[in-house]
Amino acid sequence: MNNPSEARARLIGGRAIRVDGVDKVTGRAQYPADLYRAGMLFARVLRSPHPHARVKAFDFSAAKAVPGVVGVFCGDDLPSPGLYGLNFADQSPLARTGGKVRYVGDGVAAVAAENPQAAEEALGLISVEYELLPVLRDMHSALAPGAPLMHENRPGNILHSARLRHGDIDAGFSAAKVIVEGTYRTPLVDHAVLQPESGLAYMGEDGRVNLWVATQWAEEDRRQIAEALAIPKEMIHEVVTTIGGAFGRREDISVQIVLCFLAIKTGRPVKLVFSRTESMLACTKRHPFEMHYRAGADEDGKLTAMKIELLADAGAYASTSLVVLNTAVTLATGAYEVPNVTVEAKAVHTNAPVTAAFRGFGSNQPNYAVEMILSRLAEALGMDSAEIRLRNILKTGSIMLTGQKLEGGVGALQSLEAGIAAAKELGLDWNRPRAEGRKRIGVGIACGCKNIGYSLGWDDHSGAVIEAWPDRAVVKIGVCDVGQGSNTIWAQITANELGLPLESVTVARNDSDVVPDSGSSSASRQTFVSGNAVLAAARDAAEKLRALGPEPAPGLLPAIGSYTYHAPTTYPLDPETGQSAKPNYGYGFGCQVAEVEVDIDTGETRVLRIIAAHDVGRAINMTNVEGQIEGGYLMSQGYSISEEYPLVDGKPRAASLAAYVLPTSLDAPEIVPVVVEEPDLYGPLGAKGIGEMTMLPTPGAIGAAIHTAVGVWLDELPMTPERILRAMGKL
Amino acid sequence: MSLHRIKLTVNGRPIDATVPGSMTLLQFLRDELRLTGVKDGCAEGDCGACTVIFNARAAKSCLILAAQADGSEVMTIEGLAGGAEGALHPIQEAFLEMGAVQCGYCTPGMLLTAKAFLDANPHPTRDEARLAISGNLCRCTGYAKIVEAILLASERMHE
Amino acid sequence: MRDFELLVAHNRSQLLDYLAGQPEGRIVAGATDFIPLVGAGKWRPKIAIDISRVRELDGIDESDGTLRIGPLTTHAIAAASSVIRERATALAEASALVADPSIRGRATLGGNICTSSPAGDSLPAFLAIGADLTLASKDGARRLPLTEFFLGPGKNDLRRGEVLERIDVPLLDSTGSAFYKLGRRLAMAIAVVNVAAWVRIEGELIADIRIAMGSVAATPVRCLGAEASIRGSTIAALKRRAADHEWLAELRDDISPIDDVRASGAYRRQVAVPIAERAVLRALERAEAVS
Repeated sequence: MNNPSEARARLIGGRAIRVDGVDKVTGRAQYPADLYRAGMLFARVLRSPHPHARVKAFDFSAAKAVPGVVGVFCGDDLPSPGLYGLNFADQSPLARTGGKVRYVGDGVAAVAAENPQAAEEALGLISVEYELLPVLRDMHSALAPGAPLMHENRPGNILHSARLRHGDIDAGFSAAKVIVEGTYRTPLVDHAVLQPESGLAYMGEDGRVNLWVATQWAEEDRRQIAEALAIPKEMIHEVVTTIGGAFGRREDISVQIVLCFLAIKTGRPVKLVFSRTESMLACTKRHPFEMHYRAGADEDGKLTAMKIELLADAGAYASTSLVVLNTAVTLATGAYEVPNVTVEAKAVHTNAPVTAAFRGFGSNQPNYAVEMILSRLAEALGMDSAEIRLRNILKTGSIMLTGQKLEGGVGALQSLEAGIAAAKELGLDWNRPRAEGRKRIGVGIACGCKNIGYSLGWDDHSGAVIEAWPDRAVVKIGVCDVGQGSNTIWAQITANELGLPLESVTVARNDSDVVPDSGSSSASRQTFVSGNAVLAAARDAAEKLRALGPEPAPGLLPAIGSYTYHAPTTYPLDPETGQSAKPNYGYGFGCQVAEVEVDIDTGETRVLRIIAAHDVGRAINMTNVEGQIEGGYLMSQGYSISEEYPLVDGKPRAASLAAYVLPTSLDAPEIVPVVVEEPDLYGPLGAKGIGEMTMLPTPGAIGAAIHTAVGVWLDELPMTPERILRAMGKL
Repeated sequence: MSLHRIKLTVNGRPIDATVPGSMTLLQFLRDELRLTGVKDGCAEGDCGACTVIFNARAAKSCLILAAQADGSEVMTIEGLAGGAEGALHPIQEAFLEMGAVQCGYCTPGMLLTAKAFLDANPHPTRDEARLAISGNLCRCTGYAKIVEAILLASERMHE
Repeated sequence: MRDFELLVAHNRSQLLDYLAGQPEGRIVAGATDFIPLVGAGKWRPKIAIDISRVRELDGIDESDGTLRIGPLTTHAIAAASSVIRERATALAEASALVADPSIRGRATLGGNICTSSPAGDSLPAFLAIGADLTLASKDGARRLPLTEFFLGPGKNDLRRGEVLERIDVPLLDSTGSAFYKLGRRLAMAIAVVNVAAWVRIEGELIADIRIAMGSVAATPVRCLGAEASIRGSTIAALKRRAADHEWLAELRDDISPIDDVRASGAYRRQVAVPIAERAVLRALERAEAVS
């Protein structure tokens, strides 16, 4: 038997090597496009070239005549209504005659062929007659009186409205010594997961359809596939392959329904692999927001009031926009306590791509606005920009804008103090710019707060099953390891509880026949929620194993531990006041300090150094935590200064990785991760989530640094060289 | 369509094949040789996931016609681990130890870029390592641990 | 990628035969432009002619005051070549900023010229250092100043049955050159604006100057107005005048940038001035250093 304390010291909080690492460095890890099956057909999907149109007629005759083409299908071939969607079933996998396409990239028709060449040729020969409809190019045109309706059951093109009333806003502004006001805009951006969407489907001998795919939540995929294809969920067997990044992108359906449909229709195995351009055209994006903030602070720098208006571009279909907007509302004051707040928020349909989950889930946009406002209030008061944050930061006992009183485990202040301390150590000073030739160098500081897990009354739960032998264990859990390393966390926790070396614990394949539902890999929830499930299941298994005595008979093994963890209950927002006793059961916090260089002639901007201090409650795996901090930071640097998926009258201009400006290794600064551990009240071993929080402070920190460097406030992301020169009056 | 007979060495193994003129080396390696460790991330040279070692240099296999690979020597990720019982290459070990791997999709291309780079420049500076991988996009790691891993591998390989 | 017939040329005479027989053939060398452009349907060749094995089109040679560059020379080779670094510095700097190290190892100078993108990084460098092209066909060869080659975005004076055979650069004493690129990121960047400058000095005078810019017009352009306003002035005056941006006003009339996904025309016009200034001053420093 291993010494448990030694194992614990090594296993928890250390640098355990990821369990899928060897497969990934040897090329053995299989993503869906790497799967082949005898007799396999190759599918392609025709996508709408128009942002808004009605389909008058299809002509498949030429496409069907291509040698090797097995079938050409459109929405008319699907059962009725044949719709899908995470919150509302309003999206058709393929267009129907008389139906509408609502964005460039909307699915129109599908081809299955014996080889990729025939599929491609047929795709080019499909003839579709469209009646072009007026394009809702932005939220304002969608909200204009008399604007055409995107969805007939959504008057005014409004998917969802939310409002919040907290305290007495008028009294708050009366108490203010300074008031600042601004309108902030954020862009449509792409997740740019490195692995384009792909999958393989085939009929089993048992009559079920088998789907192999990279997703964030197999159980939810199956629910939507079943609904769209009008078959029982039990008739869909889904296996999750290795996943090449997700960041929210794989929460929505991409290839799943079309693949299952084609497999059922043709009776043959079918593979569908999106090209990069198809991935960018067809798949979801982050919501553009337009945000108006008016904020007051008293002479001590204490925030007295914030009046907030949020407009979120929900794009063509609902997806999760309702929940994203609610998240934006509940986090509209960022990491700060504000006694008097009003929020008016709307999610509006336009002919943009579907906007949905993307790392941060509606918190990034308001957090950027809040941080810019805080920095401007500090300037207006002549106060140090760290000091104003110290005076308003959330703490245990703080009342949030929803009325929630924070019970404990609040590491916001600790993160801020850690960020300040690290900055001092590195000699970073946000009060003084430096000049080097035509370059000006400034420093900025900002914070962030993101909820952990499902909010507002959803029962957030996860199941785990652990099979234990005296010398090994298997974890069965329906969690998608999207790259963040969750499988390694399960192995670490299990090995720790069972006193086993890490190598003796394996995580079973995420197969809907084998594993329980453990919820989505989203909302920074898996370490917290499934971590609790695994911890309890492992303790259950350990107890049962002990009960079998020192040398259990083989017939009694394995000892099976299982647990379904339900996170603390949360409550929805009151529709009139936006108040809730507990909209969320947990939060994660962070603070970043950015050192940024701006070329005053060209506006070229480089981040030189970044300190990223993040409260993770308890680091289960220090390497993984740092990896989340470094990766989340750089993704948010892209969001802050370079990434944008522009549309011109609904038509995308950057649907390639040449035009969509992701940061390269040369654009990455020196990143100094600082791990703060303020244990959570409910997290396993005190752990919190970390996936999303790492993105939040970045735009505010870089925005403040640009201000320190060249004296201008930018109110729109990305903060491009062009926008900087314009703000400087040089354009 | 034109067909071209090509002879090349892939992972030390001689290959004799006939390919269409419009086939890329990426398609040949994945679809014909089933070397699926070579990843397809964009097929237009922007991401680097398909990087292989082509005649001792890192190259994006999506930007080479298969017919142009006649007479060449190619290494894919499947050829990197070697030695006794497929022991990992020091670069692979370093990637694992440093946490340079997350989703893994950029990893084969990163590793091969790093291998060709360290073969040519055994004692690089940090900035040289950053430059070497500047055509290999990674969306997960922020590149920090990848650069660390390359520097660690460089030390290990010359101890 | 759409299918095409590929002809693989193994030497110059076979290449010229192929070109004579298939004058519509699209030449492919490093393939780093060819594959993405064919893949995106922007080029739709029925026939492609691979010249990557034609050794006569490769190599760098310096003799009789002329630098002769084979079009198959890759950017990696150009950036590392000591003669190019010393005598055609702008070209070495431009090549070192193309795409990323792996693409620089495959992409060729000839390909960069013949793709004729208005943003191609080596093009302003070649224009500034005064390159001439030799274009060969079965019927013979002709020489063309590079300034006359570019006709529009992706369009040039390469005629049916022709291949770019050689790039000649005159090497003069007391000269210096420099390249500056402004992109949206530090690698894998398509230029928002790029600029190259070449200066020849005689004593205290700017005897000759060439400034060329990319991504500011339908083709890479020479900034003839700005050049004329500098040529013949003193070094000291250029340095003084550069400080108050006077001569650079001319430059704004030399260019006609448009809006695209990378930047607006207004931004390009604005930043063209300071980056041209930087390139000119750096070229001048280099000319002074070798005089």
